[in-house]
Amino acid sequence: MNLLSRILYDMVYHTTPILLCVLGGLFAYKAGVLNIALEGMMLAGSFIAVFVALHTQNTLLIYLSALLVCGVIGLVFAYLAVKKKGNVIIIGLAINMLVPAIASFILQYMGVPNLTAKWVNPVNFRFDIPLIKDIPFLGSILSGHPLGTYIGLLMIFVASVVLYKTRFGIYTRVIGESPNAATSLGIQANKYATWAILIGALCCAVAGLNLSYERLGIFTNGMTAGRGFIAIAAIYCGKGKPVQSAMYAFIFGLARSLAINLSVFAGPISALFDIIPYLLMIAILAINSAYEIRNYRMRTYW
Amino acid sequence: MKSNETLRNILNSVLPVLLALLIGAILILAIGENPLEAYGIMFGKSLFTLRGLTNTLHAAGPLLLTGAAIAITFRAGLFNMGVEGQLLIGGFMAGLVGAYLHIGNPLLHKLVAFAVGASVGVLFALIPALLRAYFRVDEMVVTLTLNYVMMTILEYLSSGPFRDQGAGYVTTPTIDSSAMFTRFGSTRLTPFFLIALLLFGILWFLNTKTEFGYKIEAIGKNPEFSEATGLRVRKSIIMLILVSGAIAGFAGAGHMMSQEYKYTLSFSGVTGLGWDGMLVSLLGSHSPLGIIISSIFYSALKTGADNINMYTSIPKEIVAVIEGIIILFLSIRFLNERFGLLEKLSKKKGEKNEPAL
Amino acid sequence: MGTILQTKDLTKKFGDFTANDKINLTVEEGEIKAIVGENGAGKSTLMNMLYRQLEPTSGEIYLRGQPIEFNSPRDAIQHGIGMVHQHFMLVPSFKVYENILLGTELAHDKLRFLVDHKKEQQECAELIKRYGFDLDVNEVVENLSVGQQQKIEILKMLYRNVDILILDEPTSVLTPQEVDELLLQLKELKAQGKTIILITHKLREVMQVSDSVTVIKKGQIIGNVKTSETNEAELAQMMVGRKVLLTVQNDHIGQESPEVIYTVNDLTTNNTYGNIVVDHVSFEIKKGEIYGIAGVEGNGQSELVKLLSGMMEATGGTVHYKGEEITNLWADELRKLGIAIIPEDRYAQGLCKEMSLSANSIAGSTTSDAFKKNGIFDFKRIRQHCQELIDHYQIRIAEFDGNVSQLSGGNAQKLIIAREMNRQPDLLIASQPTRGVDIGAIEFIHQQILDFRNSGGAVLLISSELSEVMSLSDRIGVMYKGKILGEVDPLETSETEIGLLMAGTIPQEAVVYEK
Repeated sequence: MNLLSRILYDMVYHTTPILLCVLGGLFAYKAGVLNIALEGMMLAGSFIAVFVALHTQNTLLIYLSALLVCGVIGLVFAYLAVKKKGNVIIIGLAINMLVPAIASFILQYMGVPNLTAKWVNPVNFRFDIPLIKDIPFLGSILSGHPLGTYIGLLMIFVASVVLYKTRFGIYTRVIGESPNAATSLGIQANKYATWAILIGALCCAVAGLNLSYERLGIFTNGMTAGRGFIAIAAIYCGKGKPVQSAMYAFIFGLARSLAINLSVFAGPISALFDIIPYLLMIAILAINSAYEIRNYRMRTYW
Repeated sequence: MKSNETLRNILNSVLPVLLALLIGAILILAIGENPLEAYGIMFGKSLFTLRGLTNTLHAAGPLLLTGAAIAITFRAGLFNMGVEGQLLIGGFMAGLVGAYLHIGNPLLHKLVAFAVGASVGVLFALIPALLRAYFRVDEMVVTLTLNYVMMTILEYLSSGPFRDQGAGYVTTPTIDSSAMFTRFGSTRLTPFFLIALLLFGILWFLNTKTEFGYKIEAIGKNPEFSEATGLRVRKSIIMLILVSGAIAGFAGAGHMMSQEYKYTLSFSGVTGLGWDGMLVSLLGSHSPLGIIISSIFYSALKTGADNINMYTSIPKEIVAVIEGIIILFLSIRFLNERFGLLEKLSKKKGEKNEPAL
Repeated sequence: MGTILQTKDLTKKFGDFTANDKINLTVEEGEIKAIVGENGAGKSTLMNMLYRQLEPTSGEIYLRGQPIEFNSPRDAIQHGIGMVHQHFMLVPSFKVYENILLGTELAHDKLRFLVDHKKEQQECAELIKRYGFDLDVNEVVENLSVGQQQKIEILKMLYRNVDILILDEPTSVLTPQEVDELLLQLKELKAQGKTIILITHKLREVMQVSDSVTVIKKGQIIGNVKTSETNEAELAQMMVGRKVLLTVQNDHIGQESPEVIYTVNDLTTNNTYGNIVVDHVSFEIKKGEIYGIAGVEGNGQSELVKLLSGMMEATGGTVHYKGEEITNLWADELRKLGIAIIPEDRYAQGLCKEMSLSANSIAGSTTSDAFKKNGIFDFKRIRQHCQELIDHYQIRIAEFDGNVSQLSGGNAQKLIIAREMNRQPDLLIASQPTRGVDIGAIEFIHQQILDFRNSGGAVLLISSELSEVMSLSDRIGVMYKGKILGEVDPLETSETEIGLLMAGTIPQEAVVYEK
């Protein structure tokens, strides 16, 4: 592989967890619930996947347990936020703090600094997609990824259809944009908000699993490193529209890919390259927002 | 009416704590330890011995300040989640001042370190403040992200350019003794605790008696009203985020000079002093008295947890778990007018419902 | 034709407050029933119970003689009761057909889980044609005028085949011409067999369109009459319970002096979408004069007030006050210069509901030293000041240390007026000063404004209540699409003339500013 296709392959590779969080998280965003717990949910997925992988080599079981645990966290979030009308930001922050706390509690109890599923060889998880792999250049970028990546790419399409072509998606957008209209027509806002949050949680499970199990077979605490927040930024910038939001996810993935691929040439300072995606995210948020308020004449933005 | 409300507020803080301790107890049971014994050690060793109590007060110093830093912005409806990062850079830079500027004069050295710590806190807070005020960028997402940026930068600086080459682990050089606070007798308590209290007192005063507090309250409760009545919301939120950053940076500097003496990767502890500040502020309903009580409570929990580690096989991370659960439960109000639980209780008790402090 | 809808002792309580007290309402099939009453009389509560958005505390509702058991708006619609709310329940980013079919989407023939947008568009186009409305199904709702949005709401209900259509204050946001169009449409629907319940406090419309009238006051029915057997004055008296002067006493003789105190010149600004919403507005106000701005809501009045009160920035034009340029000054600076502001939305901009009365009483003065001692608040003086305002302006309060949320709309408005007038301003900008307050407070507020004018103050009065502007102002500018379309003398103009201006037509007699 030459450097360019390597960078682009890595872009897809590094975009995957963010992409999944984005496509799951945008449902809650559209439903008017700010879910900043994507970070914690993703970490939970990472942890459970490797934790279960210590005991079994059954990939299906590993997937199911990550989905189950993140689903439960999603339901807790939904219960507190939707049913009990709690402060969603505080719930989100609490989950983001609680998940690593529980993980490190268990790690400490087990007496290990991280979890390593020794049997995992990440290369084995990668597989080619027939037809696509034969496309010149593009094939080398889009093919040869683990399952999570394909799920993520597929989700761009699925999320678009669900959000705009099904009742579920339409109602989800209605309760976020115009809750009064929803109640006046008997659309049960709570139900759709709960499902929207749950979809986000399940996507985070796959994202986390991809990050720890599919890529490394290793879980270290804090390995999500703010990807959940980057996902939120991507959703903000793309206004929750699946394709646009996914585009932003790819931009962040590209930044990360560049940072990694170019660090070879940079020496010790390359440790600082890690901050590039974050700074890029803030810059994009600022540009986006500045563009949006270019015509704003009110003196306060509320 | 009024005392009923106070009681409700207190219960709304106490119930989540009790529930979290209960869930913590289940967790402790699950790993085959005795929760009662564990909590006994935790609170006994942190509150009911002189040594423990002074340790607790000592650890409460920075919490008091990070709690205040969070409360100021929370009450104004802003989410400065960057207190952790602001505290880290404040502590780090104070550590550099302490180690590299050989000022010699103890008072001057500390003053310079405090000034530098608070200033870098302000500078770092300037990014989200300006983005918020002039570009309407969500300050929460920005500050959450900047924390990662700051951690990465400080990790690079402390393991590269400013690493103490003599040490076997990643750390900056130890600060000069002129930058260290002296302890009171054999306790860990230092004058920094008193300084933190004093600063907290000043903030309390400003908050209740001056326009500063009026602004915070009005902007938090109704920003449009605030703008319409001339409070200049945009300017005010910049000011508030910067004040918050200054306090956080100051707290970091104090933590450096009274406890850590050098910057390591675990400078801010297991849970992070900035995040602890969020718990302290939420638990104290962002009120001054509440913050004092909850910072001492949480500090006791943390110092207690260090002891648990010694006497039992329970990992001290249990305190982080409890912290998370408390915050989770603080997101909802257990008691409010609708449930009427409190009214039922107070009717049973007759009309006696003094706040149970 | 018999009785279609009937309520028996229908009661709704909110805590200790009885919003509806044993209401016995009878609606005949195929009639247009008007329900009239003052603001806060309980009309909306009653309708929300019929529509099942509120659960009655006690009492029953009978539909065609059967007690109804449904308990959601959706149920109500299925039983043939539909409602058009005062505040529209539309999704702004959705298209017309999506809004009409919201909640009853049409599934794709083969892929049942998908929604068939094409089929939906066709059905809606047919529906629009059948009822003779004029709408494009593919328009996005946020781009439509209020009148068109209302049509969508009505179509939404017609699509669901309702027999009874409830309209809550449908005309309050329409131009006089749009009102006429709506009333015609309602008669047409009646001809097609629909029963219509019209909630309003505008008696002219009641007389024009309804068959029978029920008057509600303080949660109780105080009269049922046939429209043909009553008149406006009688209804007004029933509504208020005493003879009222429909206009306040205004001799139109202020201390008007030729001295111009306030000049607005070519003031322009745009909204978030970049559209010009205040378009080269110019006017001047003399000392001792009330300058009124009339117009249908949403024609730039809100933005104009925000510009003049320091909440919004102008992109062009100037404002001069006492010879000094004050364009784009901030709210605190304007107040220091002696400009008092009664904002449009009292709870959004005028008061902070969750703050105490005394904290609200010094709002706008916190930056000055008036209530401070060495930079520290003098709480004794602040409380004293608040008490003075309460006494002097007869503000009825429950608890001095309580929050503003305890005040009724009228008393809250009085607190704002007290606070602003206490500063002894030279110019008062009053926007919708009597919106949603009871008749007693309206009279009080109008008197305050007139007294201020008579003592030499200058007033800018912005109101969408035409009668208010007509009876108070010395001169009136009519706003339409961000422009002041014409200026009229209230003593010489007619409602028709102003109505035409409000609808954007320039009658020949009116003085027109060509800018």
